[in-house]
Amino acid sequence: MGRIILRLDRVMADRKISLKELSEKVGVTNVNLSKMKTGKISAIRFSTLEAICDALHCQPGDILEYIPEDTEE
Amino acid sequence: MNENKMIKTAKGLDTFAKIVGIILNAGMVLLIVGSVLVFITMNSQMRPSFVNFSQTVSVGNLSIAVKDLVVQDYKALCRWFLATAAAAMVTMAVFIAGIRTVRRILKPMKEGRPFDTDIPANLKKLGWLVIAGGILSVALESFSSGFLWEAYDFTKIFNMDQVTGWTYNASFDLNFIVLAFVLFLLSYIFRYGAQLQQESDETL
Repeated sequence: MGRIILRLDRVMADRKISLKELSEKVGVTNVNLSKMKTGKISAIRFSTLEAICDALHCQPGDILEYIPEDTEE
Repeated sequence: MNENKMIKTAKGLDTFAKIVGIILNAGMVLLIVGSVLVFITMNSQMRPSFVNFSQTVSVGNLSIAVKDLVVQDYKALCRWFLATAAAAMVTMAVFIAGIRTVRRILKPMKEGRPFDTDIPANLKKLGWLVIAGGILSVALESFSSGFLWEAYDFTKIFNMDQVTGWTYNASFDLNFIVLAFVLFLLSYIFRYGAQLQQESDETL
């Protein structure tokens, strides 16, 4: 079974937005956003995803990426 | 609101468990001192004068209080006391271990973490302690009561011409097994709770 990873750092770099700025816009703490960036979470609420997409002007598919098992290192 | 109630209740229970633990430890010390004194007097010529105390003899559901029962064998009485004290010490040791486990369960609850990963293991441990305590108290009580029949001249309270025989029917209270099963079940519930808590903590 593959896994879903978050590409938050890539989208943030594209939008040139800092972690602090995003955390203020989304209402999630710096620590939790950092966990999200490093893939240390196992689930994400729709409400959090909506807030991130709203702040970054993107689609959920821009942040989430599915990696099939055979392509994993 | 509910969290505050849980924290408050856990703190109250912990204080109660702490007091019970102190009482049990003090009781243990007293039992050890008493046992040593009885052991010393057992083989000496010194005979305490309080040995003819009242006893209760149970026949089925009927309990008969008997006073000034004659001690026919002082050493057997000492053996009964030592056996009873040993039984009480073993049971108390299990109780003390149980109290410590309860306090370990209450610790994360006091901090507002009812689904801590340590709680299921401690609940299971408590279940095993309940089983051990239950079996030990039943077994040791039956063992020590045998010495009492040797010590006293119980024949004087019955019309022995009409007594044709004696039988001792030990009755066991097996409620502790139900309690242990409930604790095992709770440990599975709390394990599942800890799993859900972890999932919740990892969800943003």
